[in-house]
Amino acid sequence: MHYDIATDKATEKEIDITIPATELDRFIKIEINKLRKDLSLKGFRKGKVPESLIRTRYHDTLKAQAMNGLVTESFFKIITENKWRPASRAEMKDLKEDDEIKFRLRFETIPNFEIGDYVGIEVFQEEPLPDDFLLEQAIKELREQHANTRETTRPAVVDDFITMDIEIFENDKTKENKRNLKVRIGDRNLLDGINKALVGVRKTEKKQVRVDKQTYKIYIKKVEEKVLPNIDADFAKVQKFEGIEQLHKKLLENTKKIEEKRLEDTTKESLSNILLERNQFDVPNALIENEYRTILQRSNMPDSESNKERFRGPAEKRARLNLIINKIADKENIQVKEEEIMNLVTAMDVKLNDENRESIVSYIGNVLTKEKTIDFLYKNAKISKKSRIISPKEDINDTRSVRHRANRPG
Amino acid sequence: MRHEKIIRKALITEKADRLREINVYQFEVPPRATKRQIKKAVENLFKVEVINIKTANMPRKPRRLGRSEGYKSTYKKASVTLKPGQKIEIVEGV
Repeated sequence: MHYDIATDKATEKEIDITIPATELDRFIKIEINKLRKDLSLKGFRKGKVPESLIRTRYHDTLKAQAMNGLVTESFFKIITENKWRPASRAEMKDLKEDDEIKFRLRFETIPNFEIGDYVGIEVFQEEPLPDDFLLEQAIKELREQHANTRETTRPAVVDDFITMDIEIFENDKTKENKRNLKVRIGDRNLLDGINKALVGVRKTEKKQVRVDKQTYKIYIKKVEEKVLPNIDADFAKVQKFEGIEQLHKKLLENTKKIEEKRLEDTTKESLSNILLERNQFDVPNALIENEYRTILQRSNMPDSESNKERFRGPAEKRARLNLIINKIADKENIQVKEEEIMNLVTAMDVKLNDENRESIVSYIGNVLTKEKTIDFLYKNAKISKKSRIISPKEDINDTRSVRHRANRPG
Repeated sequence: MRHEKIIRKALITEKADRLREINVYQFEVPPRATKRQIKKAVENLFKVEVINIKTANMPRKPRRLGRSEGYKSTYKKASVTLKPGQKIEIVEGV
């Protein structure tokens, strides 16, 4: 085999390959031997069909498979010789067959890049929120979780529950009829027009709303308001705690864990961003495309021009971060044990079979390696604590729901 | 009878494959075809010289399609020996 490198970019290679036709025959013979073992033809015992007959009958298939084998072998030979790491499948073009077989292979490779300092990265971490604030938030959430409803005669407001009969008309024909439908005013799943119409309604009231081409005839059967329970000694006893102090203690313990995890995750994200800023290099398109598809799949969105424009940037960052993390994992010899992978497989309740085993094990292995490497970076980072002071200007634009109590307005 | 009607097809079996090595070719021919007719047909169709012909009437085989029983039609097998150095391209090579 002889080859010339036609294009040698950091992430893209094009190779012109010339192979003697006899090489193809070698692969055809390999394919014949593979096929022969299980082939049964009328007039022949299983495995006894002569080579010449197999060649004639399965000429096209054999040739296609042999070509595939030939291309794969040449591809691996070239990438091994040049110490390239492929990032995409090899694409064959310009095939010419004569005494020699000539073709061009195009594929993408992972670029060779030198990684900047990654041990001891300086990063800021916010101080955890004060205990009393965390406890207050936890109690608020607990009250919401155990909220009850109570019928009211006052006009309905946002967050009230409405029980209603609804009839949907389109072109003066009934399209749908729903009885005793219970909804919460302000629910995002409800149409805006319906949400607006429900504010201020009372029991037995009738309403008619027109949204686009449809008319909704609504009959209000019940208006209920949310009743939040008091978190006191009685509530604690119902929840099987000795007293309110024990409930508070447990709540605070849980919330603190969540807060610690949140701070750790935010710091890890900052570390990732610093790594991305420090290591700029071209990323193979195949990897970006792969990440883009993953994003679409997870958010259940279609492939469109607008989505491409929106997610191409994040996909590039994710692909680049993966390459950086893999490089660090290689340098630091961070490995995942088979046992750890299997533990996660069991925890995720994934059923492995012969078809999916390899891909799932490899995917989980990558996820765990990434996690371990980020943990390594986090442990070795120089973390400075930063108190959460929000300037008045920042405060206006701040959309976070949890905020430092001491800095809250008023 | 036309030559094409006499030589129905070449037999492609393990045994026929083995015989081909000693220049013997096997064909399926109509049961009523004679050795003279077969010789003429082979020589004309494949432009070769035949030195010997052996024939055998193959037994009919019972076949069943659901409730109806019957037989697979019978045929005559002709083993044709060619003059040394001559051959028939029955199967094309790759």
